[in-house]
Amino acid sequence: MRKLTVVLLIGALGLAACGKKNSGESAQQSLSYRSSWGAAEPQAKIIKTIFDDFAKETGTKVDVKFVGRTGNENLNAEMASGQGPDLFDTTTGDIDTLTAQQLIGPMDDLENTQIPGEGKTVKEVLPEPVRRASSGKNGLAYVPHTIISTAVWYNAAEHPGLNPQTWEEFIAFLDESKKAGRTPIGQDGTIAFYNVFWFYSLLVGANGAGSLAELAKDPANWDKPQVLDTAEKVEQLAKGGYFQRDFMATKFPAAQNAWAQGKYDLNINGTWLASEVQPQLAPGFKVASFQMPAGGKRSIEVGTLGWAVNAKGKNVATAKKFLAFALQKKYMEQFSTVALNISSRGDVPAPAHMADVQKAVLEAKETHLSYDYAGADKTWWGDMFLPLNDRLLSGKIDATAFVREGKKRTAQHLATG
Amino acid sequence: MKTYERAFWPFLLPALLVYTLLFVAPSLFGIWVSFTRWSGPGSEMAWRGLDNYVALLHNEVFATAFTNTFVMAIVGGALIFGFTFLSMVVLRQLKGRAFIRAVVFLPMVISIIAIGAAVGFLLNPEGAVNTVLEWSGLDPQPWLGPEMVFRCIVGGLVWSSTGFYVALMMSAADAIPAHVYEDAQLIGATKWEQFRHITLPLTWDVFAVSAVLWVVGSLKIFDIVLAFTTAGTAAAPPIPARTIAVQQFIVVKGAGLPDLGSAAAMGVMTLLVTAVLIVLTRRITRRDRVELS
Amino acid sequence: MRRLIGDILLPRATAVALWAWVAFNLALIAWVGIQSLKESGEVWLNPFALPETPRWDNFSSAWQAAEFSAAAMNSVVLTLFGSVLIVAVSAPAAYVLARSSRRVAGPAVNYFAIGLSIPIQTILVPIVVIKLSVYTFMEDWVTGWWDNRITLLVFQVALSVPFAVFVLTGYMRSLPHEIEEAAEIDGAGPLRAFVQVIMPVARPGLTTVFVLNVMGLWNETLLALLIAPLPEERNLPAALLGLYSSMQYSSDWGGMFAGIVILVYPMIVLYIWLGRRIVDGMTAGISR
Repeated sequence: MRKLTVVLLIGALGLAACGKKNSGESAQQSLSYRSSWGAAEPQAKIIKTIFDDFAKETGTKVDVKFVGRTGNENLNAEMASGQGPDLFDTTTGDIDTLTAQQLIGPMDDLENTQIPGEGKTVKEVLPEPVRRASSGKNGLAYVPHTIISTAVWYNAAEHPGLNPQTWEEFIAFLDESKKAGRTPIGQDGTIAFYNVFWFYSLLVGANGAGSLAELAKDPANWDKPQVLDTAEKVEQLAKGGYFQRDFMATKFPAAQNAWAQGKYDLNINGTWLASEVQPQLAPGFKVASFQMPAGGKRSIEVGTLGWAVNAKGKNVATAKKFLAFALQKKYMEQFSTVALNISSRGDVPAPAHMADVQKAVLEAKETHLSYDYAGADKTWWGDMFLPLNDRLLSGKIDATAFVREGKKRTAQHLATG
Repeated sequence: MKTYERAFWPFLLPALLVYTLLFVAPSLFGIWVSFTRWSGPGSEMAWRGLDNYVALLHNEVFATAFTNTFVMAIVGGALIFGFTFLSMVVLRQLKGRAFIRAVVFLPMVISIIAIGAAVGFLLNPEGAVNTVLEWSGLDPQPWLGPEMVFRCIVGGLVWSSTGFYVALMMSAADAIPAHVYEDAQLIGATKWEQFRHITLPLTWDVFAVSAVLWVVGSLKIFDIVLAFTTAGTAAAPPIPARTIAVQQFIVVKGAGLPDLGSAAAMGVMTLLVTAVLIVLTRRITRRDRVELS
Repeated sequence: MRRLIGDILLPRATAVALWAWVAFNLALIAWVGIQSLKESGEVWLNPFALPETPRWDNFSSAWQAAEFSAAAMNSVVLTLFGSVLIVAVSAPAAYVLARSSRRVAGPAVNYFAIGLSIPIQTILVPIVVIKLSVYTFMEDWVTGWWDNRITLLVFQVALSVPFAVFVLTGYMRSLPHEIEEAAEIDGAGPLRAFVQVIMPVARPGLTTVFVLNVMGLWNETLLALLIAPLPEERNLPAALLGLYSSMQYSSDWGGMFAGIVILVYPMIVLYIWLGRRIVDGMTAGISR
């Protein structure tokens, strides 16, 4: 209390005495970054190196904090109120929110900035689909370092060349696996946004960008035959007994770890999977993947992870300078070789087990963004759609009920929203 | 003039100011925010009247969180005090009672996050609990699945909190002179009857305080839910497991624009529930003080 | 029959249940200790086996990953400083409220009691807003810097004051009225009288409030996450949550259990060492 009084008193005095805003400017350039990576993760170590090098070469004072997934909950509010770091982590799905909060500003100047020592511009090293996945309505929103996509993962040492081209082939593999006494699919059912991979990959893979997002916008879209058709496929998975026992009750990441130990044949997941399960991989395990055999347009998911510049931050120019610096090939290569992910640069080869995913992404005729951007209406997505999909995938409701409920609740949501 | 009359304002003022400025005033501000649409400092605040409340009443997810919080307070409380009373029947004489009291209190000194992380492992479908069940010929259960996870959380809560109330009530029971029990034994009262007619009436005041403590504490339950479900991941805890505090945290941290108006409205509704529950608890536990003559 | 149930069945069953409960608690603590020495894969494959070779390096990796040293320091300072402040602010207020015959005393007690029923949810949003505004205000206009840990401390104190005042007022009322007379004769000023005469007599009640607050603040998670979430600001529960998170993404389970051991075992040792003094202190003022 006394401390508080003192603080308040000093506050009042300070105001009365000077009544002038403290200037945060100092002679030395400075740059701060707050990360959603945990300090122990390989990405954090790479990013740390880049910042250290940047500090050494430019004499900038850097302040880098690796907070992890928990602890950044307030970041947007902090930045909106004029605090927070100069650089932060973001991903495709957050662009609209950040734009709406005016936390990201124009980046076109950065696109034409030269990457130090390479004679190429930022725009030139980032392939077009990658830039698209990192752009909002005002153009490039942030600078990506990693491409993410969704695929079905398996052990190529056990099932060399597995690549079902149709739904029937896929089901045939599952049946065969089941008949042989194996568990076809391992699923971490407590993570709702992993459960939705099935419905989303099937629907959007076949019908292209926008086909999932439109379900949030108009209840009539639920009546399209493709919705029921996709729901029936998911129902088939649920009723077929292809998942491990009690998969809705796993303690994440129990299922993906057990998959890495060879207990299940398949796991649907993002391109980060191999990196996450690396310490758990059974000896001789060869991670490989195939695209969900959705048929139709064969649209491929392209999402990115990257660094955004806080538009309300104090060092916007330095932050942009850093981003051009960070895109150097020698750093971007490490996202592939050390972090075992697909680097955002087109000229950096992906880790061997994801070469085909990288190729699919870079050469795809049709692409869509992560989750088809359906998470933009977060109440619809988190409170209604994901729980409904959970019920479908766990066999609680059938495809018809899924469509009926979805339509009804979307109408309700739009009416009360 | 007495010391305490002379010092009345100087002594009272610090507490009064801290409480008013940093607790009551923010609460009033929170009530005001609950009538608006707002996503935090730096954004526009728009008046919405009662719309946030109306939307919450129609929101099934909030309804679940609301019910869960209520169930936790009542069912959890019944279990905790049931176990506490049973323990009090025997703990007065049991061999090793000091040791028992010490060990059942242990979860209180351990971070609930640590408990959740360890217990989550035990409850995994392939985890230790199911392994033991299979050894003994029983069916393994989907403990953390949507149907059972909330019950597991209540169980975990009862397990970790009961020791505290046992300690509280037993220290009151310790103060009862031994001769009272000796007299009761002479007239042939069973251990249960001794508890029913001696221990419980004489510790009733402490029970009344404990019950209020529990009710207030149970309505802000937050970390144990995270610990048992998706702690540390970017995923939100499954809906069947959410409490109001968890739901509010999800809305505040928001994947999109934080909807602070709605979050504040949840807070106000919790306030109403708390008030009702406290009044109820006080009414149930009210009775004339029993004194040993 | 009555005797069978009330004297034999019920007590026996309860005794068995109590011992089972004790066994479970001890087994869980031992199990966590064993897991912390295992390699990640072993934790999943053989949850009950002893580690093949003890992996002591789990501890160093957990310690570094979670930045526990800063967190431990924060927890200790926030908990002790916070608890002392709570008692220092609440005790004098409770004392005059319990004793005074002024007409305002009764309503004032009720005014504090209202705070008991205000759940943290009601002021969650304001707290976030205040936290941000205070930071900007102090940094831009006053000191040129600010530390969210101060905000956290201040709110921890403010939120605990109603309960402390409520419990202590009840306790102070039960103290004999003769105690002030000694002070009156002394001719000591109010503050000295309070510190030298009242506080020693009221020690059991003060200890209770202090110990209860120490336990509450030590395990504070929600406020800590909202107000001071950065690695160098956060307290131990928040740091463990952070470790839990990064260990999940890197599948370092041995490391995660090592983190739990680092957090939990010292508390257990402290608890064994202080033994019943914690429990006695906690209950002395309530159970009067």
